Amino acid sequence: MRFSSDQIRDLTGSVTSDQDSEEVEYLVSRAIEGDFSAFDKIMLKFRERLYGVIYNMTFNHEDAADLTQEAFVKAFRSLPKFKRKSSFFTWLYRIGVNLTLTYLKKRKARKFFSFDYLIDENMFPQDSTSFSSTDSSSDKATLLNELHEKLNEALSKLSDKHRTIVVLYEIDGLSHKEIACIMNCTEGTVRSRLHYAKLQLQSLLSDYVG
Amino acid sequence: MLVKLVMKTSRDKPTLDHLFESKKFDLPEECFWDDFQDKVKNRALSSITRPSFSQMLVKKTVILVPIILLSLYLVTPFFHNEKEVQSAVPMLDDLPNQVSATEFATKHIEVLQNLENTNYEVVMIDRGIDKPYHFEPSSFVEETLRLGDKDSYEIQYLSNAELNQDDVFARFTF
Repeated sequence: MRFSSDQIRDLTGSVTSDQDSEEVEYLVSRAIEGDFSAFDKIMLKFRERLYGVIYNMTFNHEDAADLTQEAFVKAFRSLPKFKRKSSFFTWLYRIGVNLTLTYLKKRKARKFFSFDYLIDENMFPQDSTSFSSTDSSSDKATLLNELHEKLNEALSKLSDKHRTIVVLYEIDGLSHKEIACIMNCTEGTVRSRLHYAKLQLQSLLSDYVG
Repeated sequence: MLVKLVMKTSRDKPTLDHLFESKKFDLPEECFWDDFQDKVKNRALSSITRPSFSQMLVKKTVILVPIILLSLYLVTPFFHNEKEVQSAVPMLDDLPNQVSATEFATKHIEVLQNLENTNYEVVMIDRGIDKPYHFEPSSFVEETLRLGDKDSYEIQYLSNAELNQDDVFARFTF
């Protein structure tokens, strides 16, 4: 019997191994007792992935940095309320994703009443070259940057919830179950949203992807 | 545009999954994280030290309540004296219009004692004095004091400087 990578991901979970989760549990217990160095270690473990998710939802590095910091601060303050009903990373991701979705809603409302969209139109070219590669002169790096730019543009055309699911599943590698837990919806909803979003992306990027 | 050119000439276009895979490496460089931990730590600590609304309310109450109680304590004697005066005044109102000072003192010594216990200066006012004002056409000011009692009828002219317009004109004519 053979399993697809999606099935394996759903069966095993994706973010942490058992050993890792034990370590995280221990660090969380210490952080709840007020040990900030333990929380520092938790941040080191999850900051890049959380930042990646938030960046791919906002497409703005400053906003992503600010929201990631805010998510960690909120998590630290809410640690005593953490009931361990889910894993710590799911709980942390939920905080980050909810903060970002709220921020995106506000940004949309603000854009509606202002000229922010004029700045946002130039957002992708400015941002895409900054982190992707250290050797931007090479064609390969430029090509990759441009592809990322196109992918970002296509992702930005999806709804916030569809985009979040694509980012969590395709880029961050979470399982349907984990995403359902983070987004507070059923696994079926996650699957259908993911399917619809990928179809839309395929059509938007038909010139660039096979 | 480079992408489109390359894609048109190249047969093996990347798949969407490849694109997602490469996106995993689209992360900030190491230096980006240098002060990240410190910033979070500062924000976390300041959010802990910054009191919430309920804490602020409790703090303000703790400061304000003693001040309010102290000011009430200081102001209460004032109101207390006011009460004493008020309790004495109705007794004065019951008095007939004219009584002699000795008669008043013997009959209403209690009222005087009450008033003396307060911080107020006791001033005896003769309530029998009418104070009508009469203005004569030939004078600017004339004040007449008349005692109400017929037996001690008396008219006092406090100011009766008679001035007529001729005098005024004469004074300012050169």
